[in-house]
Amino acid sequence: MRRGLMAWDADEIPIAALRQRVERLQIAMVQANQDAMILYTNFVRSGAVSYLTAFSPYWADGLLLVSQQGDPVFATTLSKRVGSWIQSVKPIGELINTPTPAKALGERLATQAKMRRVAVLELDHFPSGLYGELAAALPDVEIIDGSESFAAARSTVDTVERRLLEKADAIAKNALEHSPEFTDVGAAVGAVEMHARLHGAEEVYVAIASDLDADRRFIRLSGPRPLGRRFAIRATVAYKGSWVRQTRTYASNNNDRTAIARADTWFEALLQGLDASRSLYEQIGAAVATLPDAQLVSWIAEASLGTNPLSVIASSGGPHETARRVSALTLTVGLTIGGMPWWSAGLSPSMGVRE
Amino acid sequence: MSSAVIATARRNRLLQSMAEADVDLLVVYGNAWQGDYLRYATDYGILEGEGLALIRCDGNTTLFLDSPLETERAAVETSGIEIVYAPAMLKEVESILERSGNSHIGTAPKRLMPQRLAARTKDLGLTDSTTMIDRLLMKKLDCEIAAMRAAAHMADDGYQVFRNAARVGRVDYELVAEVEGFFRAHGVDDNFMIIGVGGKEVRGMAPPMGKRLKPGDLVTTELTPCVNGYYLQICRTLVVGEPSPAQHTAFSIYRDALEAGLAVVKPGITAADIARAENEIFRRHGLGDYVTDAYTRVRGHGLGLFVDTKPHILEDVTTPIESGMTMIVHPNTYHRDVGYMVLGDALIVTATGADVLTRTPRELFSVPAN
Repeated sequence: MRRGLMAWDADEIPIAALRQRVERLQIAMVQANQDAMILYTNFVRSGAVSYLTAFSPYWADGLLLVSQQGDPVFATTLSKRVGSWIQSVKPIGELINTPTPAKALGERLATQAKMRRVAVLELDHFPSGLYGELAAALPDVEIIDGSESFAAARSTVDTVERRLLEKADAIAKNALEHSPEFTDVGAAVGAVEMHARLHGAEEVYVAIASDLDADRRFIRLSGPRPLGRRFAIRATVAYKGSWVRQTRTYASNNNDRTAIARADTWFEALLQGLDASRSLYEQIGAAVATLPDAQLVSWIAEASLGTNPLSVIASSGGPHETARRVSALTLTVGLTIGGMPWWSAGLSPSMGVRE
Repeated sequence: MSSAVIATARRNRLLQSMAEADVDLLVVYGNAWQGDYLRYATDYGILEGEGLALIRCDGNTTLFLDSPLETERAAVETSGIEIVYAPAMLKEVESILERSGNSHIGTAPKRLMPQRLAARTKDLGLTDSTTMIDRLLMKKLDCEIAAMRAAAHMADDGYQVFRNAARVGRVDYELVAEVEGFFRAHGVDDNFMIIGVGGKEVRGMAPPMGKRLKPGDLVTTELTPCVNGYYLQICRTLVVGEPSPAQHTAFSIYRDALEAGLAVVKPGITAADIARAENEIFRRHGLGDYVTDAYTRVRGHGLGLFVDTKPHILEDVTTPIESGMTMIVHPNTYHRDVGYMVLGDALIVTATGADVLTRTPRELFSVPAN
């Protein structure tokens, strides 16, 4: 449940930037012969609506209606009482508070002339209760999947998004600075979570591999439990709708710390140098070959594509795609370095198709 | 009691319900917002992406997750079930359902079931099992109630942290940050929390907006720590500085309303009876308008694997109250003289009435204004 800072700032997210994003989607819709698009959101699948409106629900769910022209309309199951709050953090478009958002938007579309094709982002995943409301209100309208149109509009990273991603990344990095001296799981993850929120994170998911020598998998763990001599923490942080992951490896032994610092520097250079037009698989493999005693365990590349804030676009287990069509990329890499488990994750500043 | 022991008890109860309802295969959807159905069946607290569980009548359970990070975590955090990473989750599950022959297949929850599967309702013979699981979610086993008692302690302790964090000049999200840090350090994996800061202009609670606390502000919150998957809520109000006579007078109405609501709780009444008892207190003070949906959402709600589960405490909800239910009674609403106030305590319904779990005094708290 979202419980971090949720506030709209016109300097950070100008309305003009939101309108440009909506217009890019409208152009893609026209090209695909789609008269309108419906986009679903809740706090898990907040990516698409947040990108277009700067709004993520802290609770409940909602639908955004984008027509071929004009500002979008947001209909939500959040109650009327919080309507003024929603409008204060959602600077674009009309708001409808209703227990039946798909019915409300469907009935509105039904009144429009020449409404023939309505696209739904990620139609397969669309909640069936909402689909039933929409279909009942639009008996003569074809309801189709709109994911390709949205992807076409989403594949550009603008200056606003880049700044928000950098802020989220900085919050995550700072939060992870607060855990190396702890010997207790709860204190370590609690410090990361608290510091991320103190610096304005909208959301924080903290996962930990509390004893890397025993198990290098990350889980959600809290409370007073012992930490191993090597451990890693992953902080997944959202700031104003933009999501990143940062992972750090920690050790109590000075030799391990030296090796970790060397690997961290190597990883930073990898992030800086990634080329969106080339295979990530090849680039990561070539980079690992330059780090002494390092063996690649796994990697995952994620980006914001649709409703999910972060989706896997490529990984060591396949598919081995390039990052041409993503706006920004978060990379997670796991290595073994001279027998020592090591993890890192971060935002690649060189990725993404710019405006 | 460990999460695994509770999970086993839940799974046995679910299988019994499936047998009684003649369901051979149950398909359960979940995400981090509405994760209670999935948690009941798999004991997995999903965070990112979506999950679908297939529960067979022999207890064999498979959890499909569309996030590799969630898959990794589920493999460690659950036991006795199969975990599958499925980037094309809906296609995989659909294929299994197509091969399930003449099985009676139930699904839940109905509203959120992905359209790709729901579109096959007729030809795959899918039936809605939402009500069956809703009943299990509402009426708790003894081991579930024990988990909720543990969460109640954390709610009380968390509110103490919140009070200590509240002082002039602090920003609302800093209070939340301190509470969250405390919860993670003390074994609370998740929390639902909203906050209100200000005076008569504040009409409700929401996530923190960056408001700085100043003398005279009412600071409201509902904290809902989660222990072993179970959410337990407390609602309290504090004043920055000494409360005014008007704030004291207003608060006494909320306390009377809460106590009136708690007093009627017993098996055999309805959710409406509790709401009516709370609301009558406001009506008696000429504040009847403020118990309508223009000012308040619900007068309480169920608690458990979901923060806001059934039954909703409203005057038009006729759900019978039964022993073993857990809920919060909270007459939270706007007051025309002072602004939005909250007060709520969580309880278990027992044969003799409400067993109130939260122990924080029902006071209008204050913190120094300087």
